[in-house]
Amino acid sequence: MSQYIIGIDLGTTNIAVSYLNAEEAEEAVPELFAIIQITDQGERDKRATLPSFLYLPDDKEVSKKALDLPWAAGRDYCVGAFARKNAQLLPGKVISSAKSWLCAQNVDPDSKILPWNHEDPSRKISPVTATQRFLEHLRDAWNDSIGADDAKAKFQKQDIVLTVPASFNAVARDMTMQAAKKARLEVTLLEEPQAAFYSWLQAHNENWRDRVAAGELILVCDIGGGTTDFSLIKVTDEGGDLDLQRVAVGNHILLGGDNMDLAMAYGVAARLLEEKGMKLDQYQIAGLTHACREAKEVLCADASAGPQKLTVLGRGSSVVGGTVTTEVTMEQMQESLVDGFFPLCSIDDSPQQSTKAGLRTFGLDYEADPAVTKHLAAFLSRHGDELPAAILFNGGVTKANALTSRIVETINGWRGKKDLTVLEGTDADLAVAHGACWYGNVRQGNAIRIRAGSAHSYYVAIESSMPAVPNVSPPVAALCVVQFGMEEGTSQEIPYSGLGLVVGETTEFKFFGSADRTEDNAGDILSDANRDDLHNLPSLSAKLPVEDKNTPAGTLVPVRLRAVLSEIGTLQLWCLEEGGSKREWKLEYEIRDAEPSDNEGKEAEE
Amino acid sequence: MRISDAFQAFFRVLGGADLVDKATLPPPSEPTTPEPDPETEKKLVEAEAKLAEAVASLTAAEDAQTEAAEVQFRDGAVYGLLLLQREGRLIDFLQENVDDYEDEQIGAAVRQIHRDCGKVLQENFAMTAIVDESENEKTVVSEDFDPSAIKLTGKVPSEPPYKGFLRHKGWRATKVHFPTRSGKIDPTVVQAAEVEFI
Repeated sequence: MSQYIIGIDLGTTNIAVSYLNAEEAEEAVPELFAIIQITDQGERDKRATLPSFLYLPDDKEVSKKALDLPWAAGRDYCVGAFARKNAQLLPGKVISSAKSWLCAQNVDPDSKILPWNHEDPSRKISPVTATQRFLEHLRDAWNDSIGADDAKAKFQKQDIVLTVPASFNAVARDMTMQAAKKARLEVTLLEEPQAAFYSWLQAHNENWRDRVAAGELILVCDIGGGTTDFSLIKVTDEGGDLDLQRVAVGNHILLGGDNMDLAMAYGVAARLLEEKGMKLDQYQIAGLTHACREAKEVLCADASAGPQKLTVLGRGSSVVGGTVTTEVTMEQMQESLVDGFFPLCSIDDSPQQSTKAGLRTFGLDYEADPAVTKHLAAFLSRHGDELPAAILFNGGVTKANALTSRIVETINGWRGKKDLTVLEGTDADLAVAHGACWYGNVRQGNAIRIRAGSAHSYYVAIESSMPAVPNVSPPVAALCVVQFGMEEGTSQEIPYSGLGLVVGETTEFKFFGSADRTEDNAGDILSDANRDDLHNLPSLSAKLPVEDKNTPAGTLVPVRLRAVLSEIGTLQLWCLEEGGSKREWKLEYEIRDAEPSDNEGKEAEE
Repeated sequence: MRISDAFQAFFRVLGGADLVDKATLPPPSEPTTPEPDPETEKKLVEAEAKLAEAVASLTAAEDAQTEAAEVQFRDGAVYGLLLLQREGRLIDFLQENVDDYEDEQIGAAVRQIHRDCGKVLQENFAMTAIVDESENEKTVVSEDFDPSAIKLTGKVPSEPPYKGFLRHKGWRATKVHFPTRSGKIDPTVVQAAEVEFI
């Protein structure tokens, strides 16, 4: 047994680590681990969280040894507070939102593409490597303090639970596991909304069963700095005792608090230009965004708050002379945030899918429609007619009463009665880290565990047999290998024969995933894989060694497929030889290490 | 100064208590007044010369240490200013000529500077009142008060109880937390000049 249980909230914009002493597991309350990090050049300090930014400077930009840490001499990059500080001043040198790149469509997460705008390709690293760097930093910071004197207290010896967005598909989870492995860590993955819910379970360890009822659906609504994540948890009755099952998760929605602060700031900047003819530069916009965030917190917390002053200090040494000041009223906040991001809408609404929106500035697939409530309506509609009876909020944005009450009002409108229960008692910023920690405890059998199934269905491409027509490539069909809801920690054989591997050659399978197709069963075939509700994942391949005299190179070996879904939601596909010697080969993800060509870059950007 | 005392003092300064025990001369069992003989006299002179040399180098080391402490103190003071400038723009504000600005313009900037500098005082110095009571109200100063922390003014009574009016509650930095610095950093820089390339 490890000495500590560690929970890591690997957030899109901030990373938090909490831990508890494994021996006191039942009574212990998770504690936050303060993370030492570079806070400015040549300066390091402990902070409650590690901003998820990675700065790759030129030699000219920082002094020698200015990014060194006690465990790392001659560092030429840094993660954390100083990296975040540079994100706006040196946008081409700083990686942000690495996590969202792990699951970005049409981008290979193991290729060296970040920072997206870096001028020197040799400095670019892959999203997987960036994630690895964050994890290494946590490991070394821990080993420099708590783990410094005792071999048993080393980070890598502990029971570590790492959270991922519920929307992460099997490939993104696999990439996260690879990053952890490269950082020499063994981790367990847990979905973030589940982690938040575990934190609530821990807060009500004694009496949570009195607060929810069998048959109820609970919505976990997690709105962080960069992303929004929904999950549905069903309360079931198992022989008189309540049980919990995670029944649905939403898509990866790239929409969060940062977008809201920016929207407010750009609204104010536009007004300044219109009314005073004042044009703000990037630096002033950054200052204004910060001022807007503070104003938002006041206005959203107190419905009677008056207009809030927004001050942007001059950039040069003339701080008073360069100061720009304006104010934002309750009505303006209401308009840009509450109505802009949380408009009242019908359950039948769905977000606009326009691809030409203002937020689309670089390769990530930012949401075209900022209406969180419409994304929520689409999510709930996709998963049946039943509406949630309770809601658990998580993420920094949900500290704002004005915004959460609008969400509650919207759902009550859909329910036709005002009885949505808001589950309380968790810390919106730290619940994921604490809950992850608590989950480590749960895994040791100390409390109730949420059951979960695959939130995606998966497909491999098979060529359909049709007569060859010149210049027309035959449509590719998709064979379902993992159905929505397949229980984690189980395996199944796919009832489909007609696949073959050629001995001595690499056989490649195109691979797809879907978060929307909940009705398909393993073995079902979709006649055309080129459809909106399937998205491409890295291809899978298998190579049969030439080892057997009876099956010389070039022989076609008929195989069936077996899917193994791990406890943590990663997926393995195996080819099983039909008849004969019953050999097995694992299908591996085809990950390219090469630089992306310009062409690929553009494709992802479009 | 007896030689054993001198050695003891020397070793106490250099190496701490452990060394003193081993170096204490003479051992308690030996005669306290040995007969003077030329050989011993010679050794004594040699030992005293060595001692003088050691004391000189010790003094030099102490001077170097004092100087290092002074440098550290000086750098720390500048660093405190750096934090107030970086987080709260205080140096910019104090260095600026504000004569030509309207009070409204100054007020707008000050409100922000005030808030940001206040955070530095809290986070890096944990500034708290020395006497946490209402000003201009009656207060009693305890008998064993520290005159560097509480200043008595007016008609100060010669004997306790010291009953008076609190005119200023005082401020104390209850901690000094500075981040750790390393690398090649010019300690006199309070704000780096910025050059943007476009």
